[in-house]
Amino acid sequence: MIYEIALDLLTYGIFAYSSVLLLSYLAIGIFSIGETQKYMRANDITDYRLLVSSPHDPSVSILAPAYNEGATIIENVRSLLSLYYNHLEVIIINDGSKDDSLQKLIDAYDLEKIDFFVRYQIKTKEVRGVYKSRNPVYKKLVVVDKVNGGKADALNVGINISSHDVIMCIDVDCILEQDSLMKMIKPFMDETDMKVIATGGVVRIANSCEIKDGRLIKVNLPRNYFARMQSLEYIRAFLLGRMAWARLNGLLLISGAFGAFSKDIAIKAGGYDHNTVGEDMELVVRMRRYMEEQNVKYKVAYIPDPLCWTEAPESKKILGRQRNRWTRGTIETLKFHKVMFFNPKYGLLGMVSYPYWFFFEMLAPLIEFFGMIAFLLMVCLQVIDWRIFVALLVFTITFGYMYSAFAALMEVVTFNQYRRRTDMMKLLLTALTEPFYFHPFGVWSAIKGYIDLIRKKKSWGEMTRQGFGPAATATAPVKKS
Amino acid sequence: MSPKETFLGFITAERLYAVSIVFGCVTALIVLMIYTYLYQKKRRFFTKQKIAAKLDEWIGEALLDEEGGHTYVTSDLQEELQLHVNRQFAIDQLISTRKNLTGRAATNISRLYEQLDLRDDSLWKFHNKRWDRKAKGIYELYMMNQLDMREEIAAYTNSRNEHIRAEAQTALITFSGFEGLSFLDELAYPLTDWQQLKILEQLKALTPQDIPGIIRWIRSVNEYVVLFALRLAEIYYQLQVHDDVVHCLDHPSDRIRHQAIITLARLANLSTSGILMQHYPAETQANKRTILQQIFKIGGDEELAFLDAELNNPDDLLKLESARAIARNCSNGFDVLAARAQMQPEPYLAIYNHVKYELKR
Amino acid sequence: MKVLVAEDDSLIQKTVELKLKKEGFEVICCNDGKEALEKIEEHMPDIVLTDMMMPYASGLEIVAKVKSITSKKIPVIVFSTMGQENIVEEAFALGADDYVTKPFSLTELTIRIKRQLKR
Repeated sequence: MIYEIALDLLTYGIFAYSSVLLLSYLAIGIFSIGETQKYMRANDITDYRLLVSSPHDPSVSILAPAYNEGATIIENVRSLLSLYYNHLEVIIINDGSKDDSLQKLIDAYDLEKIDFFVRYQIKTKEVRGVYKSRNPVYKKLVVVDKVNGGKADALNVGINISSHDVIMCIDVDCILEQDSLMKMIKPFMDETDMKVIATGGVVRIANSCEIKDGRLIKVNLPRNYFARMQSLEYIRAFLLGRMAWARLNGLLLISGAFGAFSKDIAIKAGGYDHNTVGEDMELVVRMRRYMEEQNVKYKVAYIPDPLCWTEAPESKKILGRQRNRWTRGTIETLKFHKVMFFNPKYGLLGMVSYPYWFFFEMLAPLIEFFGMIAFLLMVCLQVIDWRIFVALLVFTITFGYMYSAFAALMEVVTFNQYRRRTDMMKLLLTALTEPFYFHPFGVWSAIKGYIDLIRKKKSWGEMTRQGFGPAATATAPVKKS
Repeated sequence: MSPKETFLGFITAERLYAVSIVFGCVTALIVLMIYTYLYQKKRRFFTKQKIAAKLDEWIGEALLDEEGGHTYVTSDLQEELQLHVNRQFAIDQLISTRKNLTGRAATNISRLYEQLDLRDDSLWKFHNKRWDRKAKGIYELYMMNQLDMREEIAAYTNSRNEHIRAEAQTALITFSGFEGLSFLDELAYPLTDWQQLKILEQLKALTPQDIPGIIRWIRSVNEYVVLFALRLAEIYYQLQVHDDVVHCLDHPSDRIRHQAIITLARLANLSTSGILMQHYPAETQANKRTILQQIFKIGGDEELAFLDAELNNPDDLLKLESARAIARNCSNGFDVLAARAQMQPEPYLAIYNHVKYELKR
Repeated sequence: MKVLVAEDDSLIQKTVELKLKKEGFEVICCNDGKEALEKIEEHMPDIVLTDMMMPYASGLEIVAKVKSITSKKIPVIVFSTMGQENIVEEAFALGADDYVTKPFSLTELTIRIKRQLKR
């Protein structure tokens, strides 16, 4: 009897969960359309160049933490310095690199150590020195050398050093489009009664693209299977998911590779937390929470324009570690802020965003995994209705394909980067394998994340970089120490 | 039948397969749409390239035309211009040129615009119901200096849609300069920083003058108008509103007080530093910083006592700003800071060195 | 006399090109910073006109590059947008010879070019 009830609960539970999930995907799809269309129409009549010639633009500091980036750092810094923007400061934070990153910068940009009073508004590890260039061409550049402390700590040092109002946190090896700053900063200038505390942008996959001197020359579909799948994943997440959440003003996550924040609010919220591996998500959640607690109307904006390109992991091992880390980051963030769970004091954030993230992002891999186990159990106990099971499987898989195809369509009619029909078709064909290989791999990495968290592993894991060499091939990755 | 049985009865393999087939068909349809869309896009791109080079050459020649008479339009160019997309391209190019060239070329731009009947395109957009088209229409009309449309466009400066409103406002400024700002009298909506920036850019090209309406605007109930008026007072040195600016230092809005501080410093007279120091204690941290930054610009020896006291402020940022002001304005400023640094190296030595590096470069 | 024009706006580039050709100059056009840097080396123009904001290389890099050429003294005139005085300052710090603010008149530009070439 109990056994029957348990089985019923399991079935109903999983069914309810899946239905809400499916409906939410549909809702996301629909919401994202309207919002993207609005942005594209407004974009058409906006002359962003005004921001460059006007002295009234908000002052921006780009913060780029660097750890052992010696292979590519010179080009990356150069491309950052040539971004179109007036009041700009580019702060490179050398997080105690073990390689020659700092020396390379000093040589290439004619840097000298200067007297700089560091205001430790947020507590960080010690700053060893601040460097500026003797050459007036590079006067926007500031290089900070500090004791190793991790990405969050490095970003906090950047915040302390910055003398501007808006901070833009990026990964130093990201390629930014020339007008990315103008587009990311405009939401801050559009604010009326709702204070814009942060803007998120779209990150695209740069693997197999032609890159020269830190600039994107030609967009290609990634050749590597994992990179290609991530391409599709990013399109789904950035074009559909985040756009829809931004519409509701419930966006919980801004990519750590590319995001702009009001420095003032970031400091008031306490800066980045170095106790979590998901510091980018954690900061956004904390800033939102801060604003809710202050009872001030606010907004997290989002720009669907692809402005940032990053290198995605191509090997199973590194991708697995990344997904592992993401899972741990999500769990840690949600744990820190569990007071908001279904708490009406936190408005939409507490009643919709947090619960959604909890059930459908954090718990999803667990539910899937245990679903698999339950399935295997049912097979052993011979209670499985094979007809229904297969039909359900087909149902889920076709829904998945439909959703991915829709995401691809959105990509094509909005900010199309993959212009060749062959590229698009290749992408969609690769998508056919997702339910059978890529997705289960993701779930498995997430489960390992749970296990590791329980074992309290706190490190980032080694991330080997391949470097943005000329038309990076799949051979000879540049090893870093 | 129990709920469980109804439920299970509802979910049959047949139904699931049926829905799956629907999903499958939708997917196939979407893939087809993707394929077609990319194909059309490619075709459009190549057509555009062809016409672009041709139009650029032709427009370039026309712009350099010295006589200013009726330019000859070749028949095949006329044919190309039948296509909407080509006409739009021509309009966009003309607008871009308008932003970059003055003199004879600029006058020829408007002439070409009218001669090629591109004005009709803009008018069609302006009269269209869709907000983005209307806004674009207004934009094209004012960039092409169609002064006769001024009255019609003016009606939209208080429109509910923020994009239409913004373009209409910019249009009035373009047409009538400072007089175009009269919409501020009636404005019932916010004026974003972006819009303010756009308006200020348009005004940049004009010779500065006294702005009569500013007295009304600085007292407006619309906070955004007050903020903008303060900005105008700063940029265009409107001494006439000096007392109103002082009054704004007591305004409930942080942002307005922030701008008022900056504007006051710009309109500075002998009493300004005193007024700023008077308002200092009650201010937010951010505005305190602003005050110190302005004193840096306009202060002198009289402020030394106040600044010296502020060197003790628990906020390091304010310490630094005070130090900057002392170093720049007070006659023995560096000595004062050096003495501090000696007495208490932590943190004053670092501050002293920092300021020394900054100012004596 | 060879003039190198680096300007990413196609119509402006075309109009400047036509005007200068009418005045008897040979014109080399570049659509972006990268092309400009290459063509300067290749053609060794007598004067360079460059926009300050272009894809792939900033105007400042172009000024620096031209001034680093020791075999020939090439004057540089930069196009800037009104209000970008700090960028113009930086250009002059690198050795730029003259500047023209947008919007500019073609006649004025021609006069400035001739003046630079007279020296």
